[in-house]
Amino acid sequence: MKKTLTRGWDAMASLYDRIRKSSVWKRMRGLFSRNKPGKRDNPTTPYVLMLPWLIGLVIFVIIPVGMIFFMSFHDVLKTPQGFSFDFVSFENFLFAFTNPIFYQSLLSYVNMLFVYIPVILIMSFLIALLLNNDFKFRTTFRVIFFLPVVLLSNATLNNISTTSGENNAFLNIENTFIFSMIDAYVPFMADFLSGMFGVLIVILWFTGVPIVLYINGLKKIDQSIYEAAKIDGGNAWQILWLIIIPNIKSTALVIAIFSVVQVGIFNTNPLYGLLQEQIMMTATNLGIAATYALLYTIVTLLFIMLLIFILRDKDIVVMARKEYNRTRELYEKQKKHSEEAADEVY
Amino acid sequence: MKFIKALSLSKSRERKILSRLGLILRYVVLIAISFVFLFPLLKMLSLSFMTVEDVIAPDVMWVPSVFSLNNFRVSILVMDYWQVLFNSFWVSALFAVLQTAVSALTGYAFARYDFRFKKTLFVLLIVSFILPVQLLTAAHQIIFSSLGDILGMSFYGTLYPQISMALLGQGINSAILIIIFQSFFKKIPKDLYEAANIDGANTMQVFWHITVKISLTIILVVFLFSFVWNWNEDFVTNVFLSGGVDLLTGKLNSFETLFGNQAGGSDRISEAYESAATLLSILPLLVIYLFTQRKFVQGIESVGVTGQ
Repeated sequence: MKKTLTRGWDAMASLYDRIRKSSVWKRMRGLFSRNKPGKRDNPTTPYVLMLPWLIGLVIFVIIPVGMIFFMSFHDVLKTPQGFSFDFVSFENFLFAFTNPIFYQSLLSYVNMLFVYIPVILIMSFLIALLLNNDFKFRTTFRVIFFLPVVLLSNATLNNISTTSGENNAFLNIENTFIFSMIDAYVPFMADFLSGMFGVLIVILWFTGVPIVLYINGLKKIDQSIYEAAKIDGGNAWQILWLIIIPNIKSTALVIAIFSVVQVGIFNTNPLYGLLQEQIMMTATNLGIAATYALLYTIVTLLFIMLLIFILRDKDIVVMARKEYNRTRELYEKQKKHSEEAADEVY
Repeated sequence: MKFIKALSLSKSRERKILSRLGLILRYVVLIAISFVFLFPLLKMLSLSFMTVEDVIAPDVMWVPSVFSLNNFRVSILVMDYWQVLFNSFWVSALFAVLQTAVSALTGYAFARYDFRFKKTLFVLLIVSFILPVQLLTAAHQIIFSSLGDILGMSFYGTLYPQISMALLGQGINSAILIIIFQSFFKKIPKDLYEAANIDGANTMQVFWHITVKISLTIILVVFLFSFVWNWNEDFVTNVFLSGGVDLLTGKLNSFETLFGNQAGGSDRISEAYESAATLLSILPLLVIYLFTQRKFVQGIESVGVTGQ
């Protein structure tokens, strides 16, 4: 008994010794130890500073992504001895695609992205344009438009959809004359419109952060460009299309990606409930939860790639290439010049 | 001559009228949009003061005929409001403090130093933001469950999973917090750091005495954001904390079932109770927001800096 105790103690002591002598520990202490005046920081300092985040990145992001890939090809069952993994190749994927609840929710998720993201992008851009200039009560409006950022939660979204749903007089457009006319001639257009108005409030509640980001992007456009355009006789319409929109594209991309993430983490997402249910039921096959989550992620990433493809800045690439060519030319010229100079010396 | 003068006068007047019209149009549009924004809140407010008769009555749209506090009284009772409010407060504050501290350190490392793999790590930071919570949680489930088996305890119903995630910089929206810090810290002039280095300050002293003390406001902003997001978060909380500490979001989610047990009303009637409960749960956030709205907008504006 005593022997094992001392052995355990020894092991502890040696572990402590090893930790004390390890480089990470030394670096950690180095953060607090006195520097010699004028001495520069150690090159490893940034890694030590972000050590918690790095560990978290590995444990909670990189390993989980690998695990999800692994799990989606296995039957994952909880047993008294821990989790058991049985290799089933593509069976989970087959199950996912033959399960109508899943693939229909996935389809409506894609549908939602194609409605929500463009509307968020356009609405918040218009509101930002309206808020951009100085006028009275500007801050009041900003406070109102930014309110949803603070209040956005599943509970409030639930409440919005129940209280401002179909039985509501304010948004009851289905009875209006124009709408019934559209319905008679172009039914799919009418479906789209009624869907739009039904979710308009919910969509608007996602525009809080995008509006502020747009205002920020608009402020960064050089004011002298507007003046130059005005002197050249450009009207407001031309300024909007030829100056503002090309300049705001990169901001729009950031907003679009941000909105995709935001829309996904609330129960407006048709897959939200299904995924939560699957993930929380550890008793059943977690491999299916992993497969669902993986497919959902792949769809999301594909959509983001599409956004990048649409909103990417072509001009920047062209400009960079031009600049590169020019510097190369200059460099070669200089080289030639210096060679000639060297020849003259000899 | 007179004619030209009159013409130019009328032109300037015309322009004035046009700009005035534009301004009015702008106000009209903005007020209309803000009404749509506030509509759910107003509806919630009006519903929560209504009595049962008012909710059913077809002629009562917005203003209840009798202002009754009954809904609030019932929701406070059903939700065990004061206790749950206190829980929500300290849990959100704890997560927010941890997240803010770790994000500040990471943001500082990204802003101040140039090191190998900086770009790769920054891309990974953004990827960790884009990857859906649902994907990661499915795997976290296995990690915490197996870890619990090894240690002979259960992590479910405890705060440990979320505390460890917050502590390791992977709490809710941690990536955004890091980016806010990074973009703000980048603006601090390098000369200050050089001066401190020459005076023999070590890394933590530089961080504390220069970076932290300059950016107290932005730290408050990040804390507020983190607090609000943790308050509203309920996906991860549902998975790991259900049955443990009762929080407002969890109580609200189960409000319907809870309420069904206690009263058993029709759909429309329970709407009034739900509105009152939701209003009660967002009231603290509303108060915080009204006092600090300027800071919130400021914080989001600094995100845009790295947007480019």
